[in-house]
Amino acid sequence: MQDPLTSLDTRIASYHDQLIAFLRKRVASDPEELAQEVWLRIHRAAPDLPDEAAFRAYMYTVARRLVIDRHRRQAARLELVSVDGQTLERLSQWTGGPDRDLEAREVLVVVTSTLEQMSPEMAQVFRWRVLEDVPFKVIAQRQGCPVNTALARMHRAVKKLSVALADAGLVREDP
Amino acid sequence: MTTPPSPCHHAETTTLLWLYGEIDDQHAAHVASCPDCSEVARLHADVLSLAAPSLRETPEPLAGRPLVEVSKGGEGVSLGWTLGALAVAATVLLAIGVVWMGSVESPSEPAVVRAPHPSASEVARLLVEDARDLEAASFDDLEDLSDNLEELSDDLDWLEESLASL
Ligand SMILES: [Zn+2]
Repeated sequence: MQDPLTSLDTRIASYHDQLIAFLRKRVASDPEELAQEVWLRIHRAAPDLPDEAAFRAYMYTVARRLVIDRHRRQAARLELVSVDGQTLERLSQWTGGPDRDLEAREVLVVVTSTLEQMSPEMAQVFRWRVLEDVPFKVIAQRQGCPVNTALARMHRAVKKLSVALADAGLVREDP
Repeated sequence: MTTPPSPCHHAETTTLLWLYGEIDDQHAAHVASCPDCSEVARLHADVLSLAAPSLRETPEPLAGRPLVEVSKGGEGVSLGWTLGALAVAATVLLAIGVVWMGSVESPSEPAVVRAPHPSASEVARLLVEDARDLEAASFDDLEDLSDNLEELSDDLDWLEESLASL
């Protein structure tokens, strides 16, 4: 039997670069720090995954959750809060710089208009969960619906956003 | 045309709770081994990783806007609204506090004796100032702001209790 720690060390050595590449596509800064967090979580959970494919899937799964977590926190700090007419008006007046800014603005426009086209309940779930970090249970209470309904609304909102971003040619490629 | 529902019953329930950090990491192993749940995880991570940075990288004039202005016209944006409401509540309580102080205060028996210090009217005055400061604050640290809001709410609760018990 292989010592689990040794095994994890071996896997970190094998997969760290892949993990960094995965994270670099998805977070603007500190992919290294996030990777450390992924390894820490995997170490804590100590999954018994002798199969390499299963381990890789597990690693990406944990990484995805951390990516969501980070974006949720960062978004909550800033401006998605003001996804409304004012934001767009100001954005259109803003003379931004290079392509990245342009893409960011395109994404913002797509996200904003997609949210506006959704049912108010659906858009509200997305805003509360992503921007204000409101737990689904609380969202369900606020909307007077079962938690599963709030979850379904969130999922449909994300699916609609995904389709809209894909239609606009703004989605990323998966590794 | 419509996509069939995900066969795994966790995909749109437990897996979402896990993705958004509302249940513990034990579920990760299921997600990793389940194609439906993995797909849901991928979808959410991709959308958030794309949408959130663009919203984060909005230009300076936006970032510097006062909170209350940020919230105008936006549905469900509770922070600005909360601050506005706190300011109004504090103002009302200040008015009540002042009236009350005026009505019961006498040279021999100061009203503050019945309430823990500082006096209710003083707290109300400070609350109005705090709420106005917070309104003017820029939106650069949500956690700080939340802490401030919590303190402000606690103070308001205390003030309401003190006034109610008089
Ligand atoms: Zn599943």
